[in-house]
Amino acid sequence: MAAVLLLGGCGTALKPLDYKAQRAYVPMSVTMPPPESRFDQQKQREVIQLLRDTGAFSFLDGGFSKTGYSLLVDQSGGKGAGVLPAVLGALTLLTVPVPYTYERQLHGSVFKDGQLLKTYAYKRGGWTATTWYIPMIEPRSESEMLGDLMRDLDRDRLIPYQ
Amino acid sequence: MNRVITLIVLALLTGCAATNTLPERALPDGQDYLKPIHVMVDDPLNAAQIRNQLRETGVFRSVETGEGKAGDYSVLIRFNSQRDLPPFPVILLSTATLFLLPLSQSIDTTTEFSLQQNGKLLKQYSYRNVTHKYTWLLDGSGGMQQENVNRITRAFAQDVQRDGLLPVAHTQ
Repeated sequence: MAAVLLLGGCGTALKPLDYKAQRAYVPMSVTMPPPESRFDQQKQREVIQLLRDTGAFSFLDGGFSKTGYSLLVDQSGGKGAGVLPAVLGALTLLTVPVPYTYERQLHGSVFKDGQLLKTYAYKRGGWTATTWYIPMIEPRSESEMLGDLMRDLDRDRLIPYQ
Repeated sequence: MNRVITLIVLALLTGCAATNTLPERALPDGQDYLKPIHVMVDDPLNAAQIRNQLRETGVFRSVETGEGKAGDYSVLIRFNSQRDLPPFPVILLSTATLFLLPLSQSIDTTTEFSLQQNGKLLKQYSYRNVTHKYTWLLDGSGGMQQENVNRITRAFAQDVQRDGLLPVAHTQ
């Protein structure tokens, strides 16, 4: 148990989505806001890999297209641990649980020929603590919201299937 | 002594140059532009770079994003790039020596271009380029990825120009 927590407790990688597509959409593009850091860049790479792994995309281009379908995925907004819990956590080597509230957001917008069709908004939040022995809850929230977005896209049928 | 210095200088100047398996293609100046192409790349994070490098070849009148309308020429690109780094302990050793220990890095890219019009495949082009370089403190890996993809986009541009499947865009 301790080994699992040691190995997995501090993992920041996103979890696989609990959604598998039955059919793939027509070739389309996905775009995300410009990354602000290497960490953002790595996260966007993970998100794209997770979206691909659902099998929902037959061909996934980048950028915003004036023709065809585009999906804008925006994970900005929300808040994390803040300075005080982070510093306290660092000073105690993440052994003393410092509680904090977090909030994560996801906005997904579908465009057709450059025109906005629909925007989906998701939010998750709650309490957690800065310790190595409590699994990080934020990556799970982010994966859940991406799964919700994929399910809603599937339900609304705004993007045609191949 | 002079011979040793010459050898060191030669090694520093030439030994660190990147090698590519795909030869450099020369694109002649003064040719007419080919018709605009609509390019879709099956890799969201590298799509913009590939489109920009196709623009830089100067062969196409324009390189657009997304699917074209009826009658337009489109290019679908399947892109797969793998970066190969030395084992982690070697990287740590290089870091510990402040990057004086050279690291062997390579990028292996396979690309498939499908030239289409109205959904009909005109021709498929496949390229593979492996770029290899020894990097160290004074010569990092910056520009390697660009060089790797640049060879491929130039090879594609030259082959399309040679095949004549894409008509010349006449200026009005």
